[in-house]
Amino acid sequence: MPRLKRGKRSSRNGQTKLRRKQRAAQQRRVKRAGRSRSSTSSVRYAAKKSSKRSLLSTAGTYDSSHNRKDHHRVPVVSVIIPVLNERKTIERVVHEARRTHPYTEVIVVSNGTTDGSDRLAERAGAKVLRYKQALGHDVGRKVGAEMARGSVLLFIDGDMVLAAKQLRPFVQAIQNGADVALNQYSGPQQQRDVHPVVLAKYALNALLQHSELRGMSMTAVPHALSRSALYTIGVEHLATPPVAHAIALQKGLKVKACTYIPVGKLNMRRARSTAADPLKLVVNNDHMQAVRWLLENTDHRGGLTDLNRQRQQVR
Amino acid sequence: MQVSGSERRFRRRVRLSRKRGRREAVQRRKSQSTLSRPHKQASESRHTRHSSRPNRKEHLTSRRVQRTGVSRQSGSKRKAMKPVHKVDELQLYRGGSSQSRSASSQLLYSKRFLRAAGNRDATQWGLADRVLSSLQLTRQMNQRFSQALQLEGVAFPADVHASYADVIALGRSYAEGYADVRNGIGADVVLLPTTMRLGAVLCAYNEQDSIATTLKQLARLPLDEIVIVVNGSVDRTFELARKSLPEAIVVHFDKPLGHDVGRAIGAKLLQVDAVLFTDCDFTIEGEQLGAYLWSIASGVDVALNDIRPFMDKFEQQDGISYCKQWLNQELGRSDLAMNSLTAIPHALSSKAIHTIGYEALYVPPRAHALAVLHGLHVQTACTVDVITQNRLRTTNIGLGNPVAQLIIGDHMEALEAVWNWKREELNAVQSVRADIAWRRNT
Repeated sequence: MPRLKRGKRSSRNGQTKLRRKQRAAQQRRVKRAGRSRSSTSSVRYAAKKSSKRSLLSTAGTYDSSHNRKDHHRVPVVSVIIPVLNERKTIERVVHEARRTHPYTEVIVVSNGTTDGSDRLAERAGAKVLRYKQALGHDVGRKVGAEMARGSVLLFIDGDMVLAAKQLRPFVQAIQNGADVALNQYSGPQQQRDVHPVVLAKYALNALLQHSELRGMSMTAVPHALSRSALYTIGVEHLATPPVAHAIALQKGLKVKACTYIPVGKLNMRRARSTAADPLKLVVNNDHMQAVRWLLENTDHRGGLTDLNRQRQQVR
Repeated sequence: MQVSGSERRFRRRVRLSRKRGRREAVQRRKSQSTLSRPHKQASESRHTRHSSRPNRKEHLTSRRVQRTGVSRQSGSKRKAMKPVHKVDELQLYRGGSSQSRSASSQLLYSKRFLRAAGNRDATQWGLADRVLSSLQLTRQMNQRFSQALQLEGVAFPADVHASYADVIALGRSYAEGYADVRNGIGADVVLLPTTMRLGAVLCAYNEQDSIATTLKQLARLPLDEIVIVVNGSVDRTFELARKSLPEAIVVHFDKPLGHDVGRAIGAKLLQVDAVLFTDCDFTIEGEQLGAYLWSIASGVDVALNDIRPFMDKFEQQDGISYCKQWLNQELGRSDLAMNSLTAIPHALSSKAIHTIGYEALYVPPRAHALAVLHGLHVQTACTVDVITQNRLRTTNIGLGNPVAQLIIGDHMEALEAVWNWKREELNAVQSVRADIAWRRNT
C-alpha cells in the first residue's frame, strides 16, 4: 500500500524533484516532516518510514492487526486518537502510538470519516470506534477515554505524526506518579499580537493560580492522564479540555509539564480558511466554560482572597 | 572611481528629487508670501512660550525644513510632514477668516486673545482672589476662561475636535495672562473649558508623605467637589488632608476599608457629572489628571489610563495582565488590551456610575466589565506610568502575593458578570462544535 502511494506521487511531481527532496528528507528528523509545508514531502516521508518498518514488524499485513500480547493482559497505555478524514497520516500515527509501550492499545475514534481512515487505522492495528456523524471538536477524546482500559491515557491527534520516542516521556511521567502530563508548548511565541486562544490559556492558568504553567493546557496534544486523574476529572469533561484542565488544577492533581513538542508548527500545514477560524470561537468559549465550572464549584471569586475588603461599608 | 549601477541610479534619483524639491519650495514661498506675517509671529512666540504640542513646533519650522532638508527626503515623506489635517482639526474660528489663516496662526491668535482676557480679568477681579483658596481660585479662573472662549465664539467641546494639548495650551495662555498681573498667582492652574461639574475621589491609607503633594496637584484642576477617603490611617494623613485642602470632604474610617472600597464610597458621596479616581501612591501632574476629566467632558463615559506603553512583551507579563487582556477580549474590546478600571487614574461620568451602580466600583474589573456590557463608551484617555512608579509594599511583590490573588479574584467576579450577561450566547457556541469539527477537516 505505501509503495503504491509513493509511485503515484512521484509520477505527479516528476522524478528529479522527488529524488532531490528524498535526499533532503533522509537527513532530517521527524520534526522536519511536519514543518515542511507541502503535504507531498510529508506523505512521501510517511511512505518511506512505514516501508522501513514493515521489514521489522508485520504490522502492515492484515492478520497482524491484533497484537497477541493484547489478548493476554490489560494494556498499560491507552492511546486515544480522534480521527476525521486523516488518511494521509493516520497509519503512521497508529504505528508510532503502538510503540510507546509494550502493552499498548490504540483507540481510534473515527467520527464522520468518509475517506477510509478508519480502515487504514484498523489495518495498522488500532481498535476503531466508528461514528457516522462528526462528534464535534474534542468530543472524540471523551468517547475514546470511555473505552480505554489502560492505566495511562495518552491523547494525540490523527493528523500529526509524533515519534514514539516523543510520546514516551508522557507515559513515563504518569508512571512516575504525575496525574497529568502536559506538552510544554505554550502557543506561538514569536508573533507580535498574541493569538486569542493563547491568551485564554495563559489567563485560565493565571485564574487557577498556576501562572508557572504559562500557556500549557490540556487543549494541546499530546497529553497524558492517569486513570485516577480521569476519575477525578470526570470522563464527560474531556470533551471540553479547558474544563478538564481547570478541574485538574483546582482539585490539586499533580500536573507536570513534560517535554516540549511544538505542535503549532506541526499543525501549520492545515489550510487556513479565508474567514475567521470558527474553532477560535469554540476554544475560547471552552475557556469560558472552564470559568463557569470554577464559579459553580468554588465561590464567585474562584476561591480567592478578598483581603479584608469591607464591602458592607458601602451602603 | 568605480561606481556600481545601483549606486549610480540612486545618485541620479537624489539629484532629481533635489531639483524638484527646490522648484516646489520656490513655488510654495511665492504662494505663501501673503501669510508670512503670522508665521513670523509664530516663530517669535515659540521662544517665549513653550508649546505643549510637539508637532505644532514641527509645523512652524516646516518651511525651513522644506527648503534645506528636502533634498534628502522622498516625496511621500515630505507630504507626511505637512500637517494638512491640522486645519480642520483646529477650526477655532467660524467665518471667512478661517479659510485663509493657517491652523497654528489661529491657535496663536486665540492664545493672544486669551492672554489679554487673563490680563483683563486679573485687573478687574484680581484683588478679590486674596480671600480665595487655591481650589476656589482655579474654579473662578476656569469660569472666566470658559466665558472668554465663548466670547471668542468657541464652544468647547461641542464643535471643536481640538486635542487635549490644544485645550491645555489655551488655558495656559489665559493663566499666564492672569499671573502676569497678579504676580504669579494662578500661573499653574489647569483649565478645562466645560460646563460639567467635576469631582475627584482620593483614597488614602497611611499616606502622610504624599497626600499634600497629591492634593496640590488636584487643586490645580477646576474641581467642584473632592472626597478624600481616609481609612485605617495611623499617621497624620487625616490632619494633612484637612489642612492642605480645606474645602475637600474628608471621610474617615478607623479601620482599613480594603482595596478599592473607598472608590465606591467616594462615588456615592459625589454629586457631579464627571468623577476622577486617583490615589496617593505617587504624584501625578494636574495636566495628566485633567486629561481624564476632559475625556469625560468630550463624551466618553469611562476614561481609562493607557498602560500599554509600560508593559513588557506578552511572554514576560504577569498573570494579572493576562487576566485583564482576556477579560477585554471576552468583552469584545481587545483594543483596550490590558487597560481597565483596575489601574488609576481613571474617570467615570455620572451616567456610567448610575448605570453600573456605585457598589460595583469596589471590584474594579467587574465594574469595567459591566461598563462595557452596558454599552457605555469606554476609552483610554491618557498615559500615566503606574507600573514602574508604583510603590512597593510587602503585599504587592513576589509571585502569588495577596494583592495579585485579590485582583485575580476580582477578575473571576468580572467573568461571572460576563457569564450572567451572555449566557445564551456562550452556550449557543457549544452546540456548533460538531459542525466546526466537520468543516475544519473536510
